[in-house]
Amino acid sequence: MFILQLAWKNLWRNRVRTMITIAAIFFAVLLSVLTSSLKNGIFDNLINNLVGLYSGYIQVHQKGYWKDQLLDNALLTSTSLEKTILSDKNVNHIAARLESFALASSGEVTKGCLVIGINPKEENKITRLSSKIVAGRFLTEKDTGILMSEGLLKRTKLKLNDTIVLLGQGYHGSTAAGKYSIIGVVHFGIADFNNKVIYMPIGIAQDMFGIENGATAYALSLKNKNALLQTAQSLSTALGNNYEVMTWEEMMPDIKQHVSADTQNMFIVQALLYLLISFGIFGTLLMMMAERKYELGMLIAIGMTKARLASLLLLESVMTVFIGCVLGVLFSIPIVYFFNKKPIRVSGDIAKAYEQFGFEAVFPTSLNVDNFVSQVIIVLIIGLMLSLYPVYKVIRMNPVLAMKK
Amino acid sequence: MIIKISWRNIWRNKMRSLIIMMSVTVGIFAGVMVLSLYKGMINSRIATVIYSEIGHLQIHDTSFKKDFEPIYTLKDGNKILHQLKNFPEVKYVATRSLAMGMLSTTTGSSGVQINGIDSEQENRISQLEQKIKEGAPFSKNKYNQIYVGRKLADKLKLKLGSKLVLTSTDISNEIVSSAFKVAAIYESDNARLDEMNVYIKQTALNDMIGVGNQFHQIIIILKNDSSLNSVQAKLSQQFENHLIENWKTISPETELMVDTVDITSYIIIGIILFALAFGIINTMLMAILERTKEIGMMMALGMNKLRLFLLVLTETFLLTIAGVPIGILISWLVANYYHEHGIKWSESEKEMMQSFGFNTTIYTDFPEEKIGMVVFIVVLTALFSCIYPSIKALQLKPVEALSK
Repeated sequence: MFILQLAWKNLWRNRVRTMITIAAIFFAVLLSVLTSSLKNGIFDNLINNLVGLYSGYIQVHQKGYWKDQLLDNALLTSTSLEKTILSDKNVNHIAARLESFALASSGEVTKGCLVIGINPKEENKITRLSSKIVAGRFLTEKDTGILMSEGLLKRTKLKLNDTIVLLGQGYHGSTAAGKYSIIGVVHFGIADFNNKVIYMPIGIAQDMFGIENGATAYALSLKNKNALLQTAQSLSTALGNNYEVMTWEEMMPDIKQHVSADTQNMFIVQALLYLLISFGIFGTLLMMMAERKYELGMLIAIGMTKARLASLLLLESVMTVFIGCVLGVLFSIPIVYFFNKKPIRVSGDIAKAYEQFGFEAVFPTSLNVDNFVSQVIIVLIIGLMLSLYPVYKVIRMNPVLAMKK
Repeated sequence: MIIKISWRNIWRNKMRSLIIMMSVTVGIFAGVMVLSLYKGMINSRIATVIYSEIGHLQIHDTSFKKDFEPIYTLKDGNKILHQLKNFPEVKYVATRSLAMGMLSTTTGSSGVQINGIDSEQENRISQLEQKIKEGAPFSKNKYNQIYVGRKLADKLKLKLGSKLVLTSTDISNEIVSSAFKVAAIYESDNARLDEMNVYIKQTALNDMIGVGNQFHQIIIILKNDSSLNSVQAKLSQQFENHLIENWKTISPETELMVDTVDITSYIIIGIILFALAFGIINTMLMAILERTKEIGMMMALGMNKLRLFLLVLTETFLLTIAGVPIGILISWLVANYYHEHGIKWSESEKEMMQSFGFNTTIYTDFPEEKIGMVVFIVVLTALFSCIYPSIKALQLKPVEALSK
């Protein structure tokens, strides 16, 4: 108790020095929290944008569909199946899709295309499809027309409100054919997609392909995007062996690889930041010890045991580190929150690249609590490890030499 | 006079000088390492796209990309090839004939893009032969040979020597087909492309679709990434009626990723520099604090404030200057080492790291072009950092300072 009091008084004896050390810890916490939440925020945002383009975070298929993407591997939709999926607490929305290849003919020109039957209302919640309309209007459930991608429209030399004939292979080898009017035009950033996609209400697609209640996939959006794997796992258990549950990481392995390489890179960058931070803290500790040499030598000389002196210094450092950490977290919360609500915006070439995909060129921070907790713990550990330096110095101290100037 | 005093001051308290010098060194090291990490990463990412898939620039007939009809060859292809020789920036050039078609075997069929290639040219621009996992490259005297991707081979149960039929349309829209034998199975990093692309000899495809000795695509590899825009501009001017695209247009996904990493790296570097500045300010402040008595004494002896200010500034400047080359040297050594060997995880760490999704080796690349900037910023930060402590020192009252 006595030591605690002494340590506390020591801290306030030389206020400026204590303040500088606290500030070193404070900035360490602030900067590493900011780095970590920015990095996670930027990539979460990018993933959110990319999965929102088409795939959704998770898809449910009939077992074997992903390997052989044929209509014959489609699943049958039912309210009980949808209920099972929606009963998972983390699933936000689900949208059934029926997709297959067909030929699109305008009379003179015939092109291959990808026909996607959708539930317009639900689909819009996952992929914000209606925001990609550039002409005409978005689909409603009762429509009998289609949405055509801009590139395909040009390639087939058609216009809005023209009629197109679709021809393809239906379920179990039947012939699929139909005549549809173009009620809307959509634009996509990825050329491959923009050149071949046709959207229609899923009921119409089911009629055309002769597969009543059929769907090739359910696309899912999640409430908590960080619980991706757990959700996939529990869905897989709930749905049993007849279905396959796939995450975006499995469906888009190249994007996954990009993100993991960047995460790995950030790991090293953060290590460099910690190096810089530790050096800043160590510098102040080193200076402090040089400054207090006389005082500490004196304390030993008048009979304070080294063990007590060491625990006194340790206590002082621990207090400083804790105060710095607490202040750091308290200040970083509003800053991180601010950059989440008012994210960094860029313009120029980068903005153009983003716009091509229909993304906003913004770089928000992540509000995930993990960022705060993990960074505070790391700085705390660094701080406490460095606090061992004064202890080491005291143990090796020779009071006579220390008091000599 | 001031330089002399500051020189002596530096040596008088070696510990303190060492700390300031070291914080500059560590700052430079951290800054340069972050830059070289990002440069290495972006380079390797672009390199996979450019050197194994797309090339820097591609030239097509303006109508070709709309329909992929075989009729839209590069009519003056040979003239373009000839003129490209006059571009000093161009490293390699390759031509491809292209056709959309169907690959059928007894077990099934799949839509493919048929690439008619010249083996020698193709190897220079996309290292195709290095991607071959089974089988051997085209032999000179065999005509109907084909490379298929691993994913496609698995899908259609193709093996080396399997026979298959390619079907496509020729320039007069007639359906044509021809039989081929699998010479090799290749595998690249991009399984989706492996499933889509098959390669046959250019002469074989040209005969099939009837384009004579013409081709549809010219792929250009440049000596230097930085000349991309200028070469593209020059080419578009010279060959007005052609579609000239760079890898960014052809693969916008890559550009998006590269740009995201770019912007992140700038923000992170900003934060690193801030941390560095703070570290230096801290140490300098501590150093001045420690010297209260000494500074008070100098003031009492009649040294004026301007000189005192200059003294502190000179000291910092000298220490910073000493720290800079050491920092650059260390980061240069480390960056070059990891440029060769890559940052890998040891066998024991590997499993744990893989569970976090870390499996790629990162290669660093020393950012020569940005060294000047880093040094400039660090020196500026250091000098700027000592202004506050110096002002603090000037505010000292000699009597009070001495009485402590």
